[in-house]
Amino acid sequence: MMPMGQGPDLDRISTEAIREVLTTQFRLSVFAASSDEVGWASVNPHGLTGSVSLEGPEIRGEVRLQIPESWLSTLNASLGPVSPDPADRASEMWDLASELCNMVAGRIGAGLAAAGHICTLSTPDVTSGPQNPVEAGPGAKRSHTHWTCAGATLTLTVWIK
Amino acid sequence: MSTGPRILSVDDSKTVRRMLVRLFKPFHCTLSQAANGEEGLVVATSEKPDLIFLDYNMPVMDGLTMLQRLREDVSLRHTPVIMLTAEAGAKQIAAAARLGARDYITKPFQEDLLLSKTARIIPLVLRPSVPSSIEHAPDTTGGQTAPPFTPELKAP
Repeated sequence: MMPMGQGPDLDRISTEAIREVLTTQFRLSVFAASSDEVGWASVNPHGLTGSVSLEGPEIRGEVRLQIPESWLSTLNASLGPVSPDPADRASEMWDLASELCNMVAGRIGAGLAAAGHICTLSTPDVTSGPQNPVEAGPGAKRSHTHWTCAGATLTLTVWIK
Repeated sequence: MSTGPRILSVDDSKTVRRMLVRLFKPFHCTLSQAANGEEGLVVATSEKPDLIFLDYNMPVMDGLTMLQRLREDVSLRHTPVIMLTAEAGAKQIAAAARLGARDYITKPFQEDLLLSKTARIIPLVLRPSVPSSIEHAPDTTGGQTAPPFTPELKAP
């Protein structure tokens, strides 16, 4: 496992990852969220959370991306016509949340590899509603950042140890 | 009527497949879809695509296994494959290269870059106009086909 007190700059890697995904893939601008926006995001139950596990010879960890459903709905519509079937529409939004998290985790994995911590990614999981707090345990490094994008607040949490 | 080059997108993410449908819609080509390597082999065998975009991590059969199977199949072994994946590890890239993947594009991808890499392998000819009846092969994964262009989502 990674020695305590050392390791890569998770905040920097997370920031670069989410910016690259949203600007390169979706041509969206993204900014660090204000404290008001962060407060709203932390109590907003109407969101989907994508998670991807990181596993390597020296580290293990997790990437979690919490996304408001209204934002996902708008982004989903930008990819093509939205299904008239509510179940299909919900499925598309879950898939979008999954792929967003997958892309962000991929960039974080690349950032970790560049810092000498090689890891592979799990396939993403998506859950709905309020999330349990991340329990990384002692010795973990953690990054927890909030981002404003197209009027919504996204929350990115990464931990490794 | 000629359908132009045939492209196959193999990705468990419908989102990525929709992105490719939208991206290639202005071009004279046919885009088929599959949600994992096993489905991808079935579609590739029946349609003989001119180019395959292949994800790495997928359920049922992953991209590397599908690539191996393609190379073992006499009728498909020369089909060009571009890996399109969030996996950016040197090991994964090397493994795909050993199996003859023509290129490796990591997600998120720049659309212009993906089109230019595609154009090195198959001719990409713009349609004179983009009619609503543009031809795309069905999404065999159960999704909808050929969504029309919609404006990009822009930040306010």
